[in-house]
Amino acid sequence: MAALAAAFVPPLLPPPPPLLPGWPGGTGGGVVPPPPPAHFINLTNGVEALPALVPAIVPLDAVRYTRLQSSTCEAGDLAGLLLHADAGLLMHAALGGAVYVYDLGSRNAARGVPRSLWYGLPFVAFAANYFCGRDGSAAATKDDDGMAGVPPVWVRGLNVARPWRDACARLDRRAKKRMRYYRPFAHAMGSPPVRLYGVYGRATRMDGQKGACAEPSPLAYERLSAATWLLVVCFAFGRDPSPRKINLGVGAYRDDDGAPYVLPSVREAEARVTARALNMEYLPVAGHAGFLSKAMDLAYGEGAVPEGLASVQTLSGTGACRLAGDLLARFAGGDKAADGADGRPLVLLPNPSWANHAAIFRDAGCAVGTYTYYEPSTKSLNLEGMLRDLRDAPRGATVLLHACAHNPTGVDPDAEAWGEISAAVADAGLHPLFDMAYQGFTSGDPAVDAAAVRRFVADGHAVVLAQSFSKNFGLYGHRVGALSVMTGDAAAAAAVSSQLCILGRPSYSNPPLHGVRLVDEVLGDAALAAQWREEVAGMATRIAGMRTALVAALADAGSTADWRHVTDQNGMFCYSGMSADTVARLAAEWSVYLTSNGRISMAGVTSKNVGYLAEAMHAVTKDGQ
Amino acid sequence: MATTAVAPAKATSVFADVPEAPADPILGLNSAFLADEAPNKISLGVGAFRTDEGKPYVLPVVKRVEQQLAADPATNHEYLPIDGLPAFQKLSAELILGKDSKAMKDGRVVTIQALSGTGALRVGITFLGRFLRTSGSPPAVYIPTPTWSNHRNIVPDAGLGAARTYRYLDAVSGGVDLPSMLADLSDAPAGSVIVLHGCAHNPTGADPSPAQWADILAVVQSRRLIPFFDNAYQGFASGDLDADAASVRLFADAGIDMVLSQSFAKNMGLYGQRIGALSVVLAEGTPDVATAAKAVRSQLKAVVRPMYSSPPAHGARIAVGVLGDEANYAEWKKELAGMAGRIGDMRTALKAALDSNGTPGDWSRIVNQIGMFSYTGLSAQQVAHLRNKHHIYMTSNGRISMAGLTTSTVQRVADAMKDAVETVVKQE
Repeated sequence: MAALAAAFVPPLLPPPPPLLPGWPGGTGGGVVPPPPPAHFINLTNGVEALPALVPAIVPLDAVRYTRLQSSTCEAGDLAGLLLHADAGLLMHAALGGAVYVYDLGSRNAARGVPRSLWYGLPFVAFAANYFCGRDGSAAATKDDDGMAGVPPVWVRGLNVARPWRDACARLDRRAKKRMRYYRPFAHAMGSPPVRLYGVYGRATRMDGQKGACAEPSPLAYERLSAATWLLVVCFAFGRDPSPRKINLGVGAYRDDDGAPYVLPSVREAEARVTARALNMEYLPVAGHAGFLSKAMDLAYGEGAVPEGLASVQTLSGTGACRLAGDLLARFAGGDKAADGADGRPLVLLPNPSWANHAAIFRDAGCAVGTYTYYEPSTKSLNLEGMLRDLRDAPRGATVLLHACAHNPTGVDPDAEAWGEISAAVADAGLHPLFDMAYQGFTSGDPAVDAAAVRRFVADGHAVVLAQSFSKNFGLYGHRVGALSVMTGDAAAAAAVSSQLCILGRPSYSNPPLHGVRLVDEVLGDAALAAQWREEVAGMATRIAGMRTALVAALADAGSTADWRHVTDQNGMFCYSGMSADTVARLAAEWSVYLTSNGRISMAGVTSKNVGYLAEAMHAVTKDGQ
Repeated sequence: MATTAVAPAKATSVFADVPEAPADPILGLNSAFLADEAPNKISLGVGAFRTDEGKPYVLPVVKRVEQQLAADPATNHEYLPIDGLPAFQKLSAELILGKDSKAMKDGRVVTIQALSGTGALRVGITFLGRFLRTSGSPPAVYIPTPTWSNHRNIVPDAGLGAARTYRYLDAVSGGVDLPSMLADLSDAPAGSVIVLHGCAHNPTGADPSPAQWADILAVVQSRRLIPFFDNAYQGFASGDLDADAASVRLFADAGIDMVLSQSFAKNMGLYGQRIGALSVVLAEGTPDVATAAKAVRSQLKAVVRPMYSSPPAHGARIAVGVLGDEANYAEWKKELAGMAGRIGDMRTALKAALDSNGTPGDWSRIVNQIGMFSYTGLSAQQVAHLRNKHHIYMTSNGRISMAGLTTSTVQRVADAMKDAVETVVKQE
C-alpha cells in the first residue's frame, strides 16, 4: 500500500509544511530526549488525510489512529473524550513528544473546522497537562482554589482556563484514574508540557468513506498541499465565532479599521468614467492602448521605455505570468530548452516564492526549478547561495525575480546585491522575468520600487516584465495587469505582440475593460496621478508603521526574541519565522489566522489589534521557536 | 568585494526568433475598414450590436445598474472568489436551465463565472481534457463546419489536439444539413465532446428545428457523447430567453452529462467586461451527486487559479444587478426583444430589397437564419468586389453582421450585392 501511495505523489508537490522543530534542550531533564513527533489520524474523516501524509511526511507504518468524536464534543462529554482518547496518544503526550492529529472537515461546509480539533483536542491537551504535565501539581494537590497565576488557555479568543480546570476537577473517577495513570511517565521525563496539535483540511470527495484508507487519492494531496492552505485558513477564519479573531492570511490591503480600502483617486476616476457613459465594446486582444502606454511609463520610467518593447494587457499578475509561460512554452522549448527539462523551457523560481508561481508555469507547459533565496536562520537574503545557483543554472533558462516586496518573505536584495544578481544572470546566460506586483506599494515610491527592473534594462538584459495593478491601485477584482517583453527592435516586438495575441485569443479573447479605464483615467490626469501617488505612499506608510508597532508591542508583551526582521522586510508580507505548529497554535488558541509558512499579511494589522496580536505571538513563541 | 555589474553586450531576447503570426481575418478586416477613406463605407464585419444609427449600444438598464454601483459607497474592488461571484453563478445557471430546472434542484449543476464565452470554453475543455478519458486518451472534440473561428484554436490550446469536425451547413439552402451532421456524430467515438451552438449558430445563423434537436439528442444519447453547448446569444436570437434556451433544456431534461458556456457579451451588451459562465451538468444517475459536484468545482478552480486567479468583478456585478432584480430583469427582457426585433427588421428589409431589385438567387435564407449573422452564400471574390468597389466590408466567407445594417444603408447594400452577384461569376 505504501508503494501505491507513492505512485500518487504529484511530481511537483510543494514541500510539506515544516514539522515540529527540535525539542528545546534541557527541559527534558537531560535524561532522555523526548520521542520524535507522532502522527495520529482522527477517525473517520481523518483517513482522507492519509494520502497527503504518506509518504511525504510520515511513513505508512508510523501512522496511528485515534478517535475524538465530534458528537462527544457537541454533547460536552469531556469525560467521554478522555476515556476514548487513544492510549498511545496520551502516553506520547505525557512523554513530551509532539502529537499531530489530522482531521478533515465534514461534507456539510456549515460545520466548518472539525470540532474535534478546535475543541476536543485542546481539552485533551489541557487535561493531560492538568493531570500529568507541568501544571500537574494541581492534580496532586487535588482541587485547590487558587486561580491566581494560572496561565490563560485560549480557545477561539476566549480564556477557558477556569471552566476547564473546574471540569477536570469534577471528572468522574474512571476518567481521573485513566489520566493519572500517565503521570509517573511524565514525571520521569521532567514533566514536559503537553504538545498536541490539530491539522485540518476541508472535506474531500471521499468524505465519510471508510474505504479511503486503502485508496489514496490525488485530490487529498491537493487539499493539504501548501498551495491550498491559504484557503483552509480563510475558511476557518470565516467560521470562527471569536470576536477577537484576526485574519492575516489575505493578500489585500486593509485600512486601520481592518476594512477594504478603495483609493479616493480610483473612486474619483470611477465616478468620472461612469458619468461619461462610455460604450462597453470589446478591447483589442492586446488591450487598451492608453493604459498600456501609461503602464510602461510607470514601470520603465517616462521617456525611458525600451525600444522594441512588446506589451499586452493581461489579467493582472497571474495572467501576465501565465502568458509569459505560454509564450516560453511555445517558442523557447524543444532545442532551445535547457538540459534535463524534457524539451520544456525551464523557469527558475526563488525558494520560496508565491505559491501560485509553480502552478502557473507548470500549467503553461514549462519545467519549474528553484534557486536559493531566503535563509531561515537569519530571516534574510542568502545572496551567496542565490548567486551560486544562478551561475550554476542551465544556460537559456528563465529566472523569475520578484521586482520588490518578495512574496512571501518580504526580503528584497539591496541595490548592491541587485548589481551582483544582474551580473550573474548575464554571465550565466539566463533570461530575467520580473514579477512586479507591488510597485509603489512597497516603499511608497513607484520609481524606487522599479529600480531593480530599470537596473536590468540599463545593464542590457532583455527583460520580460509582469505587472499587477491589484495592490497599488487597489483594483484586485478588476484584474488589471500587463506583460511586456523586450525584444530589441520594432519588427521583433511586432512579432512577439502578434504571438501574444494568438495566445490570448483562445484563452479569453480580449481583456476586461473596466479596470484599465480607471488606471488610464488616474494616470492620464496630472492632478489625479499626484493624488494617487500620495495615496499609495499612504498605504506603504501605514504598513511600515504597523511593522514598527508590532515590534514595540512584542517587546511590551515581554518577548525577548529578535524581531528585527519584521521591520527589515518590505511590502505586504512579513515572513515571521514562526513554524507551522506555532501557526496552528495561533489559530487554535488565539483565533489569529495566517498561512502555515508563517507569513503575516501586515495589511491585516491595525492599531487596534496589534497589541492582541503581539500578546498572541509572544505566548506561542516564548518557549523557543 | 562587490563585483561591479559591467553592462554586458545587449542580451539577446529568448524570443528573438519568434515569427510574426498571421493577422486575424476579422481584426484585419476592421483595420482595412478604418483605413478606408470613403465617406459611405459600411462595416458588416463586427460581431457587436449597433443601433439603427450605426452606433454602439449600452442597454439603458445596464447603464443604470453601473451608475448605482459607482455611486454606492459599499462597492469595493476586492478579489472575487476563484469561481466568481456566487450570486452570479446561481442566476446565470437559472437563466439558461430555467428557474425550475430539475438538474439544479438535484444539485447536479456546477457553475463558475468565466471570462465570457471564450473563457468558459477554454476552462471547460481544459477540464474535460484532464478528467475525461476515452480508452486512455483525452476525448476527441468535434466542432461544426463552419463554426466560430476561435473554436478551432481553443481546443488545441487547451491541450486536446486538433479539433475534429462534423458537417453542419447545407450550402445550397443555407440551412442545417441534418443527415450529414447525424452521420458524422454517429461515427464519433463514445465519450467524444460535441460542441453545439445553443442558438443563433455563428457564422451561419442556421439553427436546427425542435424536431431536429430531438434527433441530435437521440444520437448523442445512443453514442454516449458529451454535448458542450456554446450559448453566446440567449435572448438575442429570437428576443425570447426561454425560446433560445430550448435546445439546452431539452438536453438537460434527458438527464445526461453536459457542459454549458454562457456569454453576456451580446444579450447584455457587456462585450468588453468579459462576463460569462461555465456550467458542468452531471448525469441524473450520478451516485453521491453532492460529492461529485464538489470535486468538479474544485478541479475547475484548479484550472482557473494558474490562468488568471479570479475573474473580473465589474461585469458580474452588473449582471447580478440585472438578473437579480425583478424590475431590472423585466426591463432587460424588453430591451432584448427590441434588439432582436431590430435585427429581424433588417433581415426582412434586406430580403425585400434584394427581391425588389432583382438580385439573382433565392434570398429566403436571410429571413430563415437567426441571430447576429447571416451567411449569405456570397463567394470570397464577390466579397472582395463589394469591398473594393462599394466600400462594404464583410468576412470573406460571406458572413454579414445584421447589426451592421441600418434603415438608411440597407438599400445601398442590396444594390451592391446585386452588382457583385451579377458581375462576379461564382467560382465553385
